[in-house]
Amino acid sequence: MIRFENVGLRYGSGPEVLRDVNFEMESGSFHFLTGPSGAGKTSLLRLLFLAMSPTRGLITLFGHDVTVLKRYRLAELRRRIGVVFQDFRLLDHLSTFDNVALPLRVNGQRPEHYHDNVMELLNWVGLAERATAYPPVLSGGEKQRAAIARAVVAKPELLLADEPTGNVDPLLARRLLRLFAELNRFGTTVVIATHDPVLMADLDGPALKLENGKMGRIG
Amino acid sequence: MNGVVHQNWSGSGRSNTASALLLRAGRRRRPSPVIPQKAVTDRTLALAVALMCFLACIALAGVLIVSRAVHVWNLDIAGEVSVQIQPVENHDMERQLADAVDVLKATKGVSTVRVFDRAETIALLKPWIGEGIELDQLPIPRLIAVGIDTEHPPDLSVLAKRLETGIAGATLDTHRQWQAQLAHTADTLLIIGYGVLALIALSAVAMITFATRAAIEVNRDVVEVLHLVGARDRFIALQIQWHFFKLGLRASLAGTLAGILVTAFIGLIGQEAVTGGGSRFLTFALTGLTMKSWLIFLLVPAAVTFISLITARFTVMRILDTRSIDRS
Repeated sequence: MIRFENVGLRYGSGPEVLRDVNFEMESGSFHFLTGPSGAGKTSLLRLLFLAMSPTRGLITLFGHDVTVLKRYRLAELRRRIGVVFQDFRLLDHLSTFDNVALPLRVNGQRPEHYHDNVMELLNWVGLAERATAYPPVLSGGEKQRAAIARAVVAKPELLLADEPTGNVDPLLARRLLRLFAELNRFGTTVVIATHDPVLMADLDGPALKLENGKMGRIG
Repeated sequence: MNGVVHQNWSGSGRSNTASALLLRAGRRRRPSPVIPQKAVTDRTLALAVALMCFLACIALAGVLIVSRAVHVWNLDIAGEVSVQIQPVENHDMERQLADAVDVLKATKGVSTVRVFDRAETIALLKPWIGEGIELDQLPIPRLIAVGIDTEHPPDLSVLAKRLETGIAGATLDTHRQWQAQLAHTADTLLIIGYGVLALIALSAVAMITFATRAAIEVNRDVVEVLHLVGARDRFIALQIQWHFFKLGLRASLAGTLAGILVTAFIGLIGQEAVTGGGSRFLTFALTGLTMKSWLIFLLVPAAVTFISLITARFTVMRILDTRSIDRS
């Protein structure tokens, strides 16, 4: 499903933040992506959710070489990917409900069709009462759960999460992890970027370790 | 996914009641616009669009009035010609007039023939030569007013030749020189009017382009998130173009209404003060505008709304395509 071959990435004319990254992930697998801060985890995730193109190397996603992918094909692939951003990236002018429903809306679904499903998901992540609240009044944990709900609402084939439990208490973190594990059990490929060893201990999955832009494998 | 969300979320019993209420209320609720309306709604832009429409209405009124005046002039001039008969030695003027009348009446397309008698002709000349001169003893040219059937007009060049060769001293005046000069002046005015309208349309395009670019810059983060959750360019363009469509429609209707009211007001002032034929229509008189002309004013908001829609879409698509806003 995902294949990186000699991938390198640099911002502008700066040094390479990713160097000769090689790995492969099977469909339906569960991986952690770990490493110290600044190791390049977020950059690697940005390559995976097609927000950037690599400076060199080859990335294959869902059988497509993303480095030569035409612009109009990007949306098609992105709809198969759910992303939990480290900074949540909720839209402040939309309610929690509308934020979570956004992937369905851009996919052309009508509110009367997705309303019940979105409410059910909000209920599941404990945000049903906050459905009409706007992100500026949500707590960090609530924003995180809304971001996770948005990432999973369209039942993605690939779920990417950047520090998805960084702002929630350990109990809630465990529950959110259970959600990821459940999704993985139903066939979604999950990649979670984290440097939290407790989180990785809770779930059984191989970890890819990034250090100074180079990839290694632990676990 | 359903398997996931059907699992119990411990401690969510209270929220089940809330969600049930929200379920009922939410189904009826329309989702908020994806692009924040406040950020792209620019009162200055709405005012500028309204002002453009107002100016377009004034320019359009000018174009319509000049067009109408030209039409009336052409009807007036084409509907009547005159035959002038100069006094010629050893020829009887009354005989010449009678022969000319015979020729005219025998010509197809001539609807009326009226000979100005000597007294009428002198009355016509008096303003030009003054009161002090006695004209009774002088030979003076005579005039015949000839009405033309504008639907089936005669060949005036043939008629002129027949009169000039058959009747001594006769000439046919078709007023064509006047017609040509007036038509030239009117054409120039029309070109200026259309030019002003074109400039206004171009200004509207420039304003909407600028506003669309600003809207995308202000909402750069929103556009990026939309892309990352799978939105196609045309989905984003639709959100922005719909906003400018509504803004353009509202502002242009307001501007056009103001333009129509001001045109009508100017027309009412001094409408009756000027008399005359086609030239009277150049006084911005309401009589210069028919019901059809007033309806043409509705083209202004229609055109501006269309320009807003197309310009916004084209600008968004071009920016998204060339800048790769989501893929740095």
